[in-house]
Amino acid sequence: MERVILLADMNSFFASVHQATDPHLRGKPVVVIGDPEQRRGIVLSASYEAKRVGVKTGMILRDARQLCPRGFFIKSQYHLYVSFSSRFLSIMRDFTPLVEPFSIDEAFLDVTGSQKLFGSPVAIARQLKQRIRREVGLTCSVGVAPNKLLAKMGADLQKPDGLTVIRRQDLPSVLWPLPARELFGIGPRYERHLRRLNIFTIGDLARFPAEILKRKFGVNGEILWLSANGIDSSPVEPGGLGRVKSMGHQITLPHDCKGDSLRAVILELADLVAYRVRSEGYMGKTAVLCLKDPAFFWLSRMQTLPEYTDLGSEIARAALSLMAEHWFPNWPVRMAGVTLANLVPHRIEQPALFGDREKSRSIEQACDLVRNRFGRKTVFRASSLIEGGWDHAR
Amino acid sequence: MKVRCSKSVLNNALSSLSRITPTRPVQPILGGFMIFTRDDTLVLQATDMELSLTMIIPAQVEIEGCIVVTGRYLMEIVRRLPDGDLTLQLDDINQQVEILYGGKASAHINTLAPSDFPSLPVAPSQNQIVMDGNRWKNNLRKITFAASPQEIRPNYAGVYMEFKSGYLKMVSTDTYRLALLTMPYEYEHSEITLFVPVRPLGEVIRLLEDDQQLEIIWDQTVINFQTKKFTLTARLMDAQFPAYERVIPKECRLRIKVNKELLNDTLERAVLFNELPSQQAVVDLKVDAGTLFISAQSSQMGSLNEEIILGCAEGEETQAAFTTRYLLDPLKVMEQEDVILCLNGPREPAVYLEEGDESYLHLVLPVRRLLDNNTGEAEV
Repeated sequence: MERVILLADMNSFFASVHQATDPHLRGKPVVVIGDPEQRRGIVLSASYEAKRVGVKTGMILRDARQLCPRGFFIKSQYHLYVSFSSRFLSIMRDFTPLVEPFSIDEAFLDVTGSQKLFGSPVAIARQLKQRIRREVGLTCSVGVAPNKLLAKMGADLQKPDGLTVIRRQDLPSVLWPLPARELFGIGPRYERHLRRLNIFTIGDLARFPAEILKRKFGVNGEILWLSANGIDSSPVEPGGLGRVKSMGHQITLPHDCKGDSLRAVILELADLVAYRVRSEGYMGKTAVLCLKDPAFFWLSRMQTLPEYTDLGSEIARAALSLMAEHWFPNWPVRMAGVTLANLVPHRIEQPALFGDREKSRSIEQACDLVRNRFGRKTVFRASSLIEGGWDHAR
Repeated sequence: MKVRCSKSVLNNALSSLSRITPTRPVQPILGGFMIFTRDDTLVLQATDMELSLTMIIPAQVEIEGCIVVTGRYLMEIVRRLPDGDLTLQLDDINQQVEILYGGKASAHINTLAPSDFPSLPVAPSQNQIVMDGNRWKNNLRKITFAASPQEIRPNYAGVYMEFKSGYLKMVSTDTYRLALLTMPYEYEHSEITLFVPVRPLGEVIRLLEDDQQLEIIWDQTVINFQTKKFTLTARLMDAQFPAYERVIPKECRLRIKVNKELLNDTLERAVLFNELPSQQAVVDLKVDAGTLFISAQSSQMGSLNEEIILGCAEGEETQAAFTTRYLLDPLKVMEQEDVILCLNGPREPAVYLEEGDESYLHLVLPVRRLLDNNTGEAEV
C-alpha cells in the first residue's frame, strides 16, 4: 500500500505565537527578534503583515525597523514557542502515533494507517489544520504526499495556510519546472555545481543520468537524483528529533568577568547543564567551552571526557581546564557558555565500588531533588556567593 | 666507541626501548636512546621521565664509549638490516654513529649530545625481594587488566601489593570491578604495601623471558624490576588505595559452577547486543531451576537468549545484570576448565572464583537500569 505522509509547517511560527497569545497583535506586523543584549538583534520570524512590507528572516534589526517602522518588535521568548510546539504535536498524535518533529515549527505524520478512522488523506489534512487553528490558534501549510520528501516540498509550495497534495504523477507538472535549488538538499553550492552540468530545474536533474551524478558527487549525487524523481523511502521516526545531540547554557554577563568570578560562572553553567542533562535522562562525552571578550573576540574549544558523564563536577573540570589552556589568565569575558555534547540516553548505570564519582553523583542527585521541589536557585555552590556568581542573584 | 653485536638481539632491545619513549617527544633528546659500553656488554637506556628502561645485551667491545641517538631512527634502520652481526662505531668528526653490516654497506645516523640526556632516577636499594619470573608473570596477568586505564582514573591505574608473613596479595580495581590474588610467599621483612602503576607492570610482563629470576627493589618513591637482561624503574603511585576488603562479600547467595568456555562463548555473542555507548553492552543473568538464562537486548540489532544447564547450583535463585565486558575479561585469564560464579542479587557484587582454588577472586558490581524518563520525544 502506498504510504500517506503529511508535513505540517506552522506559518511564521514565532510571530504567530505572539499573535495567538495577544489578540491586540492580530492583523498587525509582528517581528520577533533575537536578544539585543548580545547586540545581535536579528529577525527570527516575521508575521505575514510584516513580510508584506519586505521584512525577512535573518535581517538585522535596524533594517527591519526602517522597512516597518510601525511594526511590533518582540524579543524572542523561547519557552513560549516550546509550549506551543508541544501543543500542536499533541494534536498531531491524536491522528497517528507516527509523528516526527522536524524542527520546532514543523513535523511529519505518517497517516497511512489512520484513513479508516479519519477518512481520506485530504480529509485528515483538513481536520488537522482545523484543530490546530481552533485549539492552538496557528495556521499551517500542509503537504500531502507518498513520502517525506514530497510532503515537505508540497508544504513549501503554498504559504500561508496551504494544503497541497503531490501524487507521483504530479511530479512532471508540479515539481520539475521548479529551479533546482527548490529541491530539498540543494544549497547554493550544489546549485553552482549543477549549473555547470547544465542542470537548472528539478526536471533537468531528474532526467540526468544517475551514473554521472553518482560519479561526480558520490552517494549524495545518487540521493539528489532519487529526490528529483520523487523517490524517498525514509520512514517517519517518532524519535526523530529526540536524538538530542548536545545541551548547553550560555550567558552574557552583566559585568565583564575574569579570574575567580569567571570560574564561578563556569561552575554554575556546568551545574545547570548537568541538571538539565540528568533530568532529560542523558549523558555525554564531550565538553565545550565558549568564551567571548568585550571586543567580541570569540573562542570555542572542546574536550573529550574520559567517560560518559552527567555530573556537573566533571563537566566543570573539563571546562575549567579548557579555559586554563586556551584563555589568557585575567582576560575579561563578556559571554560564557558551557555545553555537553555527544549525548546518549542514560539507561544503564554502572555503580562503583569506591571513589568520588559515587559521592559526586549522590550529592548532585540530592541537589536535583531540592531544586525540583523548592526551585532552581535554592542550592548552589559556595563559589556563587563571590562577585560574578549570577545564578542565585537573579 | 666501537662494538659488535647480533642484529636480532639489538633489534629486540630497541623495540622494547621504543615502547618507553614518548611518541611525540617535546624535545628531541627525550626521544633518544643512550647507548654505552660496560665490560662485555652494550647498555641501552630510554626514559619518558615516568618510566625508564635499561636493556643489557652481549657485545664485543673494541673501543669503549657512549652515544645518544634518536631511538626511532636507529630502530627503524636496524629492523631492516640483514640478520647476522653488525658493528656500531662512533664517527667523532661528524657526530654520527656508523652502522656496518655485511660487506661494504653502512649507514650513518646523526647523534645527540649525551650530556643532554635526562638522568634516570637513582636506583633504590632499601628493600629487595626475588621472585620466580614465570610465576610472577602468570599472576600479574590475572590482575593488571582490572586496573583503570591511566587516562580515565589515574588514581586507580595501579596494582596494590601487600607483603605479609607467608603471602603476597595483589589487588587492582577500576572502581567497577576488582581482581584479587593471594600467592604464598616467604617475606622476611616487616609487612609492607606497595602501589605500583600498571604500565610498568605491563612492560615487565612483556620483558620477562622464561626461567628468569626477577628482582624487585624499592624505596619510598621508586621501584625497580630487574633481571640480568633489563632494569625497569618506575615511580610508585602517589595515591591511596581504597579499603578494598570491605567490598568483598562475606557470603554468597547463589553459587554456580559453569564451564568456562561455554560461558565465554555465550558472553562473546551477548556483547554484540548493545545500546549506545557500544562499550557498555549489558547482559542479564538469571538462575532458575538449575538453569542459567543469559539474555541481551539491543534496540538496533535485536536480542539474544541462551540457556546453560548447570551441573551445580547452590543457594536461592537470583538474577542480576552486568556490563558484559566485565564478566568476560576474567574468563580470559582464569585457568581451570570450570569457573565458580557467586551471584548476590541485582545490587551486590558477584564474585568469580577458580574451581578448587581460592587464591584468585574477581568481583563485578551489577548495573542498574534507570527508569526510562526519556520518552524519545523531541525536546521542543
